[in-house]
Amino acid sequence: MAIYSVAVRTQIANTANAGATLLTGSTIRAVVFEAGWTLATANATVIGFGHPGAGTTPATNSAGQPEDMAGPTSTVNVAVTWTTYPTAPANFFRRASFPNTVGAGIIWTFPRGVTVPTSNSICFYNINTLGANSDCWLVWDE
Amino acid sequence: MAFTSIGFRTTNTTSSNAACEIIAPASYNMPTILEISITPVNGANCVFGLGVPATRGGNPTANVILDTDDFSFPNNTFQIATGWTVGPAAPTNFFRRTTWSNTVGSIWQWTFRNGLIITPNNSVVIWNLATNDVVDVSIAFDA
Repeated sequence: MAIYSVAVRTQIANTANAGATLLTGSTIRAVVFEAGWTLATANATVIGFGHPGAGTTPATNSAGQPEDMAGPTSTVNVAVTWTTYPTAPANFFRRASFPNTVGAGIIWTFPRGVTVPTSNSICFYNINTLGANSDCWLVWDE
Repeated sequence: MAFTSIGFRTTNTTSSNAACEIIAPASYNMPTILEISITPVNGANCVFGLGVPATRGGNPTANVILDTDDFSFPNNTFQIATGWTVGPAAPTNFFRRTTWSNTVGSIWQWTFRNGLIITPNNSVVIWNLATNDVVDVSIAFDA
């Protein structure tokens, strides 16, 4: 078990689309401890964090980076574009609204972690973004 | 292991450049970053990322002196640079990236629950992902 994180800039900013998904591999689950989000463009925005309703096919992946630089390679990726898009989560662990101010944001923490099973995902979901791309990051144990 | 914390001001605001580099020595101690906070000084939008540079900076020309929080401990041997003869190369990935508002004193704080461990002879950089403000940076380490 080791801590990993990766930060990305979202590319899909449409309402009712995912902004970013964390995807586990087929052998190791991930336990998410922190999820951070800041607006890079000024638009009033509402986001949620939850399990997408259906699986996804990512088009671009950023691999988890070990926070111990001597640690093993991550099996988890974070995607910001997809060939098959995630569908809306039925429920959210967290949701938040931001003013139309660049730099507005939030850091959500999960003291005991949110577990993402193998071959599964969890996503930032654009509930209402009006085209606001954002910087976000995720921290997990795997 | 001793706690060390440091506050300093960056000078390099150029996009696609490092604002500062935290460099582990070839041996002895591995700096473990527990917390980083960044605040813009003049009031300009900023986008910073934290990552491992593709290559370390060459010949740091401006270094921050580090003291331990407990004065009875020896000073640390790792280094923080804010200027170089040849700057670090861009990280491929980032541990964190954040956008700051154009407000003096707006603040974001990155924390690392188990510490971000820099292995010997390696470094991490706070990277200017845009044309940024001069910023005040505070970092807490265990090293």
